[in-house]
Amino acid sequence: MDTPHSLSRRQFLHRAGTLAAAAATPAAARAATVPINDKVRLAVVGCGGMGSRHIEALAVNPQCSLAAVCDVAKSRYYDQMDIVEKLNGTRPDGYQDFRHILDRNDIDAVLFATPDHWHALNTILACEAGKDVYVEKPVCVTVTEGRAMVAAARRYGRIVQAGTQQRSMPLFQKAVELIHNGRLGQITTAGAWIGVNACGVGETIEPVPKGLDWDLWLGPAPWVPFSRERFGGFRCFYDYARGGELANWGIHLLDIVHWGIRQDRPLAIQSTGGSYPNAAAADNYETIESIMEYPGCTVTWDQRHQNLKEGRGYGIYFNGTEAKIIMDRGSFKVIPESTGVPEYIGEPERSWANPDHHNNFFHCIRTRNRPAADIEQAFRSTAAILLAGIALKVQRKLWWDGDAERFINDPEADRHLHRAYRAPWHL
Amino acid sequence: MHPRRHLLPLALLLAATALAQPATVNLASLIAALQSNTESQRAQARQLLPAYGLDALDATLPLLAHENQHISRAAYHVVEQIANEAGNTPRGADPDRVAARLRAALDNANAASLKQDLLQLLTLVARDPAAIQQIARLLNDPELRERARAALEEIRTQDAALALAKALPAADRPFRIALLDALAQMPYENTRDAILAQTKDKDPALRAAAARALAPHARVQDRHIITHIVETADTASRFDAADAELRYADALAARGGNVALVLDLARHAFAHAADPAQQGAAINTLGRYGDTHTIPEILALLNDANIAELAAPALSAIQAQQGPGAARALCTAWPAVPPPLRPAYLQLLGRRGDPCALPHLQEAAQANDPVLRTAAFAALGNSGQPAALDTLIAAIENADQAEREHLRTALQTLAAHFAAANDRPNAGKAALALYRHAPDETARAAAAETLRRFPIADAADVLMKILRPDELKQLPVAALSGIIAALREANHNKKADELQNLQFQRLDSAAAVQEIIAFAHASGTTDQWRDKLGFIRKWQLLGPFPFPPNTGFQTPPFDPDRPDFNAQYGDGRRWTPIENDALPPIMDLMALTGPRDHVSAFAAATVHSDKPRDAQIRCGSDDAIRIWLNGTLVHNHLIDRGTALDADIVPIKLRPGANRLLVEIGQYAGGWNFVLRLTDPQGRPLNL
Repeated sequence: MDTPHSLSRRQFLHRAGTLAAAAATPAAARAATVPINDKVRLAVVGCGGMGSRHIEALAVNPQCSLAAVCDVAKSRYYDQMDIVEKLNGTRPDGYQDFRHILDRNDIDAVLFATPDHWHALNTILACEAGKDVYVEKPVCVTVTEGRAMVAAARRYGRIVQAGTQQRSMPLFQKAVELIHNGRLGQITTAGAWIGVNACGVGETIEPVPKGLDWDLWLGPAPWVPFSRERFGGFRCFYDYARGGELANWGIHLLDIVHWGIRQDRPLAIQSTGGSYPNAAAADNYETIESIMEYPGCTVTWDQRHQNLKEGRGYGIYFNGTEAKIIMDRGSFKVIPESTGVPEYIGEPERSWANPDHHNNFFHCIRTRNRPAADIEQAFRSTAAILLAGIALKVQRKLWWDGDAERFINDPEADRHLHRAYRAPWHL
Repeated sequence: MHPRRHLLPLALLLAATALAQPATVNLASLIAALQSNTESQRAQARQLLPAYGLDALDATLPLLAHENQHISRAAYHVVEQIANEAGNTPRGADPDRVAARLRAALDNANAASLKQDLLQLLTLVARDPAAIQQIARLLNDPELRERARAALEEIRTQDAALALAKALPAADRPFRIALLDALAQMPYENTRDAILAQTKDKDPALRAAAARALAPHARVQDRHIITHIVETADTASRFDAADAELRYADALAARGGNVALVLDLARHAFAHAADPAQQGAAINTLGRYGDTHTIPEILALLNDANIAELAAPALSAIQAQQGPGAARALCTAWPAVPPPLRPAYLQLLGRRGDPCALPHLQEAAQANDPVLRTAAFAALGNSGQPAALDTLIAAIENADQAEREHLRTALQTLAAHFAAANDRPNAGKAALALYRHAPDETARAAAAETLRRFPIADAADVLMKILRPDELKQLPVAALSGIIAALREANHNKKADELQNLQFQRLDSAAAVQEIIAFAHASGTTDQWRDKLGFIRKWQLLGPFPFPPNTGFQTPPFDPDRPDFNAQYGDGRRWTPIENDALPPIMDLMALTGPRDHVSAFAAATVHSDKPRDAQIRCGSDDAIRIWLNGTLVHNHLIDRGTALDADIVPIKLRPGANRLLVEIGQYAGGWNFVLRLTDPQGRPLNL
């Protein structure tokens, strides 16, 4: 146990710091907080599908300068360095281990687009290093992790924005405003659905590709040999993501449900599902139906193949005593038309990396305001889908104590709220 | 014996049996299917095998070591589900028996990967002390100790925690730290003594890990142990030690009633912090748990050397102070704010929106330092104060080009604030300033748009200038209302009359009326519009009467030309006068009878016309509707639908004097209501 990964977090950073010092701007050269008109100096960790979208948007965002990119696979971050250079003429630094970035004093904030099982530790370590954080959703894979993330953000006084970017999209802001203004009456039921689950079947063990730090990719998760299915399709494996689409699109959509009903702690949860036509070796189910009971409102999650509602392959609905609203990222519609609310067509979504959401993050770095998708709120939305996943796992109805963040009189289910980290990583 | 050798013959036997009888779905056929090369067969086996409980477990366990990864993985999921159901659901197999089989398999397993799988599966059912002890024994196995530690951490019972604690003395340094980190996640009382023993170790890193494990116990008596560990930390462990102290402070605060101790711990952590980020955390702890008295203390901790890195957490800490008292404390502390922090501090003052901040913001807006001035402009914009508007408008008059942009941004922020608060005069005033100081046509157009929404008298000349006749015709019909009001306030009555007539001419569709309704709700002017859109909102209602789903409307129980409003029908049903002030006045018939299906109700009203005239009845209904005018049936629409404005348009002729309207609404199921208005033949409201 004498590899760099066995060193305590700070031991690593102090050693790494001596290496990185030459590249770093002394702290004193930076102003006290990021002034209103200065660019935020940012690093992106994780150069996969989502990370590369963020990089593409951030490279041309005038509010930030992209100082560094990082990925456990060298080829990935080299590719992104080239892309950034083509987009804005500057070449960011590249790293394989994100802890080198945390040790640079000249970087204000870090965006993490890593696999889900890394989100909590990435965020906590960055907060401890004095960085503000943008972390992709779902923000955690267990409730314990999420609470530890909030604690670290508050303890170290950092801004932590989650990648639930729909909070910054005008379409959802207007839809939620309608709901909060009472245009639908009292909301009694709400829900969300998705018509896909992209998890494949099985895996093939292979040698670790050259240039990939597989041990670091696994991080706090149990050690297993390399397979492309895990590396490229982490969402299908319980060690890295809990719930498949439930933890992917589910968090996005149920986050808006929480916003609309102004509640984020279910009282009770039931789920059913399975991998019926296929995928005997899949960790995460392809079909999931969940019912979450909130005070005065029942919320459903409905995940099936070809699951269209009013022609939409995914979406959110709220049923009020006076009217109903149905929405996706393209539009929302209030039914019946006699409510006088015209159908709203949103701005075309150019990228999942939403510049408005980025800019909200940068604004909050400057002002120290809580961001649009603050970690506490994002954790609670993530927790709801994690609870649905636990109900699926234990195959029975569960009752939730939102204050204590434990199930009521259910130590068996409570065990699923936590996972052990592979040493030396710890929360 | 290796479980594969022990149980494989059973699996093969079952598979052979299944192949001989392929049509029957039973345990044997499912085990065969699990070993097939077809994914869909394995999927079916995975789904059904858990129903066979212990028998399926016995047959599936050997397949965990199958050389085909697809099969071993599918087998793992079957065993996982059996163990999961045993551990979590009443319908599952006896958990102790499942655990016993998994333990036996673990004892007999050779391959490390198989042992690791079995350890993971055991976490689902291992409850009894013997199972815990069996896993605990593996804490001494160099190859498996990490998985055993993780398994016990995930089992999370007091026995599991105690087993981890007991392993501490014999463990080497890295593993002892791992054990302490696991214990930090389950702060049971029975592990305290073992953790406390580690706080006395000579290795500072171990002591720091022990402090981290002690922190969530939140015991006041641990204070001196933890502060001592912080004070005796070496360079490598200083961060972990001080971090443990801050976690301890958080845990004490969460327990409540330890504010003085928590603040002392924060001060101690600041003094012993490993780096500025950790100093920032200590400052933040002061702000989160202290009262307004900590604001000057926090400011005093900042100096030229540390300000760059401590500014952000200091601001977060100060921002944690809430309420009017906090706003005043922030204002009082202003003279002590270090100059590099002042621009950001001004923002904080501005966002509080407290009048006490305004003098500081106004003074800073005239400072020589352009950075401070710029910050003050933004803060004034965020303050939402009407007085800030005057300051910004005065400043923009004399500003240079660069500064004007900052002022424009601040004015936009203020305008948006006033617009959101529906403060029409100030929103219009800000928009007028933005219009007059627009740097280009795009900005001018944006300001003009705000002015159209919030027209003010001072802007009447601008409005007259910016609104071309063709533009007026294309303006949203609701926007004309605000402009008309602004023109009247500025005594441009002639132009106001013209616009009012134009607006009336354009109110000729359901869409235009809906736009006005939305505007009336948004602007709080529903009183002004209630009787100007042709709606009939005073009715006499009577019902319910039968409305059979197969035949629909029945013969009315009275003469449609002469309803007797004093008559009583059947079991006491009488005409009930209803006046609806809502806009639109949708008449809810369920309010009359409660939820009912297959019934109808009547509504009667009288309208007076000064002369004979052509007109239209425009109505929507949920569900069917028929209408008599002066005793003559003029409309009959047997339909199952929801209500929409002007869904039906019925040309009519009104006679001079009183005209009697009688409406019957048939209810199939669900909602039951109607809305009706009168218009002229072009669809413009007829308010009689």
